[in-house]
Amino acid sequence: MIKLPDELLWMILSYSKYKDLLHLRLVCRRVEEVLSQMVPSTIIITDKPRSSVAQKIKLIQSDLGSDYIQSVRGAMIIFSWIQDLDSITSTLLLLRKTASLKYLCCGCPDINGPYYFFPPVTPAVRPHFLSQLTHLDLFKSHMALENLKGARNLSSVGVRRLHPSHADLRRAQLNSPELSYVENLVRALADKPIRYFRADVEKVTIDLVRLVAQMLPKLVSLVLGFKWTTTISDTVSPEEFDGSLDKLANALSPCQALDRFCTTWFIGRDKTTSTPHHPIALQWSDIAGKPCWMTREPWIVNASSRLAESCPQLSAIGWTVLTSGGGFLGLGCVRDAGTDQWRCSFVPFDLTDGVMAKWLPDPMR
Amino acid sequence: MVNLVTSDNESFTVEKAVASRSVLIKNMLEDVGESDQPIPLPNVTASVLKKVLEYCDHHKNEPMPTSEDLAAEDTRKRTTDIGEWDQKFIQVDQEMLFEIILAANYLDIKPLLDVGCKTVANMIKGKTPEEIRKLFNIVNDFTPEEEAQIKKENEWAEDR
Repeated sequence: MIKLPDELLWMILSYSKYKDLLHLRLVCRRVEEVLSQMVPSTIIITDKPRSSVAQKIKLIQSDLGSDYIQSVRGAMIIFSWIQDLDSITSTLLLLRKTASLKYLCCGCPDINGPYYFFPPVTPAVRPHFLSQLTHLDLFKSHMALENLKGARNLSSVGVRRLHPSHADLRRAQLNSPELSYVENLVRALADKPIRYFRADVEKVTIDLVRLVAQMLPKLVSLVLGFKWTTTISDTVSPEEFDGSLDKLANALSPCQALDRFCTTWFIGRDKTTSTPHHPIALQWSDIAGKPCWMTREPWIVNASSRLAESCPQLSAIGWTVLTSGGGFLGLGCVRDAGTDQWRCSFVPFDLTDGVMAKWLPDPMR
Repeated sequence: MVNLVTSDNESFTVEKAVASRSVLIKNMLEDVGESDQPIPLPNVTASVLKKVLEYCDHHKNEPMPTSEDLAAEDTRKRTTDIGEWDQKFIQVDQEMLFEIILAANYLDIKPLLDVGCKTVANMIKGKTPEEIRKLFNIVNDFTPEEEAQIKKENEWAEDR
C-alpha cells in the first residue's frame, strides 16, 4: 500500500471517517505526509467570491448524510469583505447538522474586514445546537447568544477584534455595543464549564473584570484586552487603571484556579506620584535561555504579587506599561516556581497563547 | 477487435467495447481511428491485464460514468459498499490488488479503481495503526517524540 503514489494512497485513505484519519497519521511517516497535504483538519469556508462560497457550502451540505461530515470536529469559517447574510444563514444550517463539531472558529481575521452577526437559530433547534462544542473563537463577529444555550460543553471562548482599529471607524462605531455584548456573553456562559476566556475589548473596566470573575469562577486563563504583539500594539490605547490595585485583586478573587491573566490595563502609575513611572530600571538578563530586558521596578513586581495574593494559582500576568517616549508596551510577569519571585520582562509575550494555541490545535493546520 | 500488448510482450485480442472501458485505450482508439496496429501497454503485465480485462468484460454493457457522476463522487458522499460480483472479483492477494489499482489508474478505469481503493479502505477500517502496519508490512518510522506529538495534536478530536 505504502508504495502507491500519493494520489492513490489518498484515494484509499479518504474513505475513512474523519476521526479515523487522525489515527491513520500514526501509521508511518509516509501516510502522515499524505494526510498532512490532503486532509482538511477543518471545514474551511473561505473568503473567496460569493459564488465560490456558495459552492463550498453547497458541497458541504450535500455531504450532510455522510460519515465524513458527521465526524468532522473542527470548522473554520472565514467570511469575505462583503457581508453575505445568505452565506451566514447557510452556515448556520450547516452547523445545525454538524452535530459532532467541537471546535468552531468563525468571522473575518482581516483587521479591516467586516463584522458579522450570526443570526439566532430557531427555538426548536437551540437545545441541541452546537451541543458538542468545546471551543468557540469569534473573529470580529457576534454570535447570537441564544445559539449558545445548547452548548453545554463549552470550555474555551474567545472573542477577538470586536472593535474597529482605525480612528474613522472608531468614530463611526461610538455607540458600538462591544462592551455590552461581552457582558451579555459572559452571563450566557455562566452555566458552562468555562476555563479559558478571552475578550479583546477596547476598554477594560473594573465592572467587567468583576462580572467575568463572578460568572466564570473556574477560569484558568483570562485575557481582557489584547494579546500583545508588535502587529497589534498600535491598534489600542491602554486604559489607565483608575483605582487601586486592591480593587482589581478583589474583583479577580472568585477565580481561585486562575493561572494566567492578561490585560491591557495600564499600571504605570503608583500612589506616590502624579506622573507615570516608566520602566527605565532595566537590566539585561536571561529567561529560559532567551536574553531579554528585565525590570525590577518594585511597583511592577508588587502589582503582580498583590494579584497573586487574591488568586494564589497565578503564575503569569500580562500588564501594560507606558514608555518614556509616550508609547506603551506589553510586559510579561512570570512567577518563578522555585523562588516564588515575580520576574517581569519585555520578551515577546505569549501568555495568551495559553488560550488559543496551547490548548487548541492550530485551526489553519 | 483490439489488440493489446503488455509490458511482458503478451498480446490480448479483445472486443472494442471491452477495451474501451479504459478511457486511456478509448482515447487512443479515437486518436488513431480504424487500425490493426497493436496498442502497447508498457505499464501493465499480462497477469494484471488478464484480471483487468475480466472486469471490463463483465461490465462492458454498463453505461460509462459521466462527468456528473465523477463530480458527485468528489462531494465525498461515498460509501465503501462493493457489488457482489466485484467483491468476488477483487478477492486476490495483496500484491495483485495493488497492481490492479495501479493498472486501473494508468488505464483510467474509474469504477475499477474505486473497487480496488474501497477494498483496501475496508481492510483498514476499524484497525489500529499497529494492526495496519502488520497487515501491509509497514515499518513504523516515527521517533517516540514524533509519535507523541501526533497524539497530542489529535487530542482535541478525542471524546473527552
